[in-house]
Amino acid sequence: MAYSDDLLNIFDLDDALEKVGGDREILEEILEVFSESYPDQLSELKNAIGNGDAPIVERAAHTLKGSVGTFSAKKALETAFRLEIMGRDGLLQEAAAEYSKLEQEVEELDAALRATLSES
Amino acid sequence: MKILIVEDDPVSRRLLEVTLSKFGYEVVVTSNGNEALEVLQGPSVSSLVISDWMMPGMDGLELCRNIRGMKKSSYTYFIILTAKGGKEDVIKGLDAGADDFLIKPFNSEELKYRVKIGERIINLEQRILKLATTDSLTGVLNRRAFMERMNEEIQRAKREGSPISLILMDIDHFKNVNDTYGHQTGDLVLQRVTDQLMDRSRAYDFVGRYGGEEFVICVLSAEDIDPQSIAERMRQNIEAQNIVTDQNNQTLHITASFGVGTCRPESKDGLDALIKRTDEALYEAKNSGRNRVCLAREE
Repeated sequence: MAYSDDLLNIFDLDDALEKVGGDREILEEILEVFSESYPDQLSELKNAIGNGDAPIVERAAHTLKGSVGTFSAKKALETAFRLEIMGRDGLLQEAAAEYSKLEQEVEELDAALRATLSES
Repeated sequence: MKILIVEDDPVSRRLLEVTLSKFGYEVVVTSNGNEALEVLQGPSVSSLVISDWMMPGMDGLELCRNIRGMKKSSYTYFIILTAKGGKEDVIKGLDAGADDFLIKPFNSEELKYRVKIGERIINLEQRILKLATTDSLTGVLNRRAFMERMNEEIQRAKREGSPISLILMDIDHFKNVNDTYGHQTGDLVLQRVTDQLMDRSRAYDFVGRYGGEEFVICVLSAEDIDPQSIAERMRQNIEAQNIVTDQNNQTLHITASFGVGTCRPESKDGLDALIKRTDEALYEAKNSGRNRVCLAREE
């Protein structure tokens, strides 16, 4: 099956599979954990941005980066990383806009992962 | 081998857990440094820790420093996880005492080999530790290791308010065995006698070789059991045992003398004073005809 560049930007299944030693079941299992945990992670990040709490922004974005990185989710990873840097540098002016983007990308990722991994 | 995972991100945590279990490791999972420290201070032994760096509360670096500051009887191998492009800097991690790094998102094969490196080092350490603490002839603790452990147990018993006892044992006329049958037979006698001591001591008690033909046994929480009767059973078993020599199938009979001393929790006595009293009891057993158990005077 060939993946379009768009989907590849959301996540790279081959790369993600390679990281777990080709074990699709592991990927399916951690997807369950991801679907359950990302809403809380997102709201922690959102609250921190609302409160202007840069260190929490940095850490929460960092954690999310780790989560989406597991699925080789290029777009969401980059956005989370930008938020992490904003938190680290204490520059939160654009964080809210960046957050909206991340929220959308993470939801998109979850849906794409579910569609792909429930195939076969 | 048991591995302790410390990771706040549920996805990475589950991934580590599933992957390491698949590789056959026993896994304990925690989500921050404080939880991990609690586990490490508990009774279960995880000799390898894989910890994330950035976590709420105690982070990975601080956890590592804490572990290095703990008085542990064996080494804890520490692998710290860092994110690509993160501000975590390798030197800071090494400075905190980490043994190795793994960059997230990690590859499961790489994880496997990093853990194997850790396992090799832990096994090596355990082998060296065993060699350094064991009496090679009899397999029981050597004198230094016994004394170290006995010291710890006395402190613990005092904290917990329970008595602790020491049995000091000396094989009777051992010099004659060596002189008559040779040193190989002498060694055999030491091994057979050790078997009886091990056989008659309970799982949580421990046996050490004090010197040539002298042995020591620590009897823990001597409240509900009588250390004197344990020593008496040891004495009887040794006396009843037939030791057949390798060379000419001769059967030897050996006896031993015992001194038994107890340290009460309210006592100010340390190990040295306990040994002194117990040694006096052993001396009395020797002087009053051998092959008997004598109780040390109360302090």
